[in-house]
Amino acid sequence: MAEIYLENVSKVFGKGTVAVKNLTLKIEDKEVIAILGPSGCGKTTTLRIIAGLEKPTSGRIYIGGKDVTDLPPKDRNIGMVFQFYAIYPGKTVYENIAFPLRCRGLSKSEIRREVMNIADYLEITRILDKEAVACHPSEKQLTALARALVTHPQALLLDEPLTVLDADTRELMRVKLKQIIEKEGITCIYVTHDQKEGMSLGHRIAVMKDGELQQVDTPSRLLNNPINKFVAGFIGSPTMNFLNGEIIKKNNEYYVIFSFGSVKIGKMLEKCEHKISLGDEITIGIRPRDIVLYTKEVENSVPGYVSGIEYFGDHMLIKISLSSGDSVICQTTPIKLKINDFVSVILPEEKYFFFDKDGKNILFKEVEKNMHIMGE
Amino acid sequence: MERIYFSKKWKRICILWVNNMVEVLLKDLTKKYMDKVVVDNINLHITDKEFMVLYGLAGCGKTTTLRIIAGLEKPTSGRIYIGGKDVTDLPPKDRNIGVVFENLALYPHMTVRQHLVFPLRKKQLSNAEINRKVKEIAELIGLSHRLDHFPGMLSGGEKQRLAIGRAIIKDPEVLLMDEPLKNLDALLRERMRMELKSLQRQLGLTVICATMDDREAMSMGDRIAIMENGKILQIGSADEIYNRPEVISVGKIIGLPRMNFILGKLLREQGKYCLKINDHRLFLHSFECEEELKKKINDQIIIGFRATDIVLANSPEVGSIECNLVLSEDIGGQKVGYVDFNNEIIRVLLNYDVAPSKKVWIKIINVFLYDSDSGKILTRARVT
Repeated sequence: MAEIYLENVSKVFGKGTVAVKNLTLKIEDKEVIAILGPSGCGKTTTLRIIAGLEKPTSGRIYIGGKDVTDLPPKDRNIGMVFQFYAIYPGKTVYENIAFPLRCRGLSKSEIRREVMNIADYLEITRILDKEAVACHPSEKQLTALARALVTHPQALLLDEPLTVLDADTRELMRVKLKQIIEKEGITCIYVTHDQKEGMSLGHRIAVMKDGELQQVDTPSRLLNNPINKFVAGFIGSPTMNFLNGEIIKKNNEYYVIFSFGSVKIGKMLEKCEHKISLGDEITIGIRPRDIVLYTKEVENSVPGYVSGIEYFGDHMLIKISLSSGDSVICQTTPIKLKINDFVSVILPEEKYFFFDKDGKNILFKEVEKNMHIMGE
Repeated sequence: MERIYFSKKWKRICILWVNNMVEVLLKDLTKKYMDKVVVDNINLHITDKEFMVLYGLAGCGKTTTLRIIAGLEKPTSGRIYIGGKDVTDLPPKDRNIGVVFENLALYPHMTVRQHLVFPLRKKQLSNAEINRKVKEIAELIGLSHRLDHFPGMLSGGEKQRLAIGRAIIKDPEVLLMDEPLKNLDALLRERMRMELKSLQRQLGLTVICATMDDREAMSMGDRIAIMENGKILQIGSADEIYNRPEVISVGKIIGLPRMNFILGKLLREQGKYCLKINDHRLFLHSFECEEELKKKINDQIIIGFRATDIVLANSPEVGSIECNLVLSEDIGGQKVGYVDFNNEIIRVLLNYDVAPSKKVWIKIINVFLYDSDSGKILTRARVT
């Protein structure tokens, strides 16, 4: 059993730069968790704290139920793969993989057996005698992975292992990595800023921002049930559109009014746990794929014109400047459109997400209606 | 841009203010380092106000091509024309080109204003003139309120815009960008793509941009030149390239998920063309050019198809092929499955839930057929 438990971990660097703020996170045995966040959010620091490369300013780290906070990295029995391979130059792939075993004083034959095992497993047997630095980037990263796995660690930590690869190798490696991790059944923490990698590999994703953990959840729940505006905007590609509105009361009914219309929120307001009142500013979020685009005016639609087009073969992203002054991005199947063409959009009410003024809390969680995104 | 000329009509020297056409022409451009050919006989015509993207994987020669256009490298052979003028032997400073480098190359000790003024120093402009220009560009790139900030205080996107502002403030004829979005994180990159494109449109700039990201290439480029090993494989709009990749290497790097390729044999049976893949037969109809197909009867050919060209089912149907699902991944709303097809992995879109190692039935409906030797496209076809 190798569950990892971080308890109120904080890390402050130098003159009060808070890299990690009071982080509590539990990673189950054999779970793959992705830590996702923009650069500078503290995800790498968190990983380094778990590995023992950084000492937390406060808080405890438990691996497999044992407090390892004061143990040096070598005694934590953890494998780690870094962003920039960290391959030993002047050594062959074989020697690179054998290195941690040699440090542990294993016999030659034992080392050989272990290295061959793992190389066979990762399908890199044919490059074992190659100079490691001369290998293809993806082979270097596999070498680093083999070196991390050869000691049979309790947990595997990966720090953006695919960032240095080009887009194509990255896709292949991502799939390969997913297979390896799933087959190995190892507790794994995967740090990335690429949500595609996080979504693909992670059973759960921990979204971080400014050193603070925002939400830990399965990929589909992050998409359908984001806890705040940051998560909503960060997860899902293309990014969610945000529009500002205000709460008003008309004929004893509550509405959110925004630049081009209003939506009745009476029922939802009753269920809402957060205190909001008349005149409060509110932000509405809607995902680009939920916006319906028309090339002519239809009933209840908002007119606008095309101000940007991105074509991707099987779909298009279209930026629309609405007559109300807002602009939204809409995803459609490829259609013939030019810049400045007239279009109109319908923003279906049932697809809205609601956030309060600070973007802190989602006001009305309407899970069911967004389910189709993931096809659940 | 002013042009001085002798007018026959007025019988005197005139100054003509023209919004001159800036086109860039690369003719038989080759660059060798020792024996290594980095740019291999490139011919490329970038028209006025065009956003041209050079797209290829690392080491394909796109950056070298940009550096040659900028004048930072001398070509081994070939000529470069900008606005009809041969600039091959001109130093960079005389080429009137703006460059945005991959790492942006901002000066940490200079404010935004100083960055913008810097390229104007040599231009002998009056202070008022300089101020006017700085104000104009700062407004354009949305940094008016940041003029006294240092790069360290700017966000990623603002730094990006500053680098562009600095490159365009002296009214270059051409703007070169080398992976301008590479160092931004994913979210910002997505937004900057559109911003960059609309800035280019607004200014009517001729842009040549190198990138390693196919989404970037497709979304920004009016046309894309796809490069590999120093050669241009195909030039065309995103639409043209996506819907007809001329060679296998192009298909392999355009569109997500990536195109699948499998081997098959072309046969002529019952008066129809037919692809034999192991024991399966796919009958072709509505292909573009039969001539090419005729020549290849009984030959091995390579069959390319995208995930969107496959219909997936959970039970056998006429013409469907049974496969095992190896792995599935969910990448933000799109479920991609990896299917074992005679030891080849092919990518499919999963429109329903399947557990890995379960059986699925795939039906290919559109194919691109390629010559197995040259890798060139033979035809597109539909499958019955």
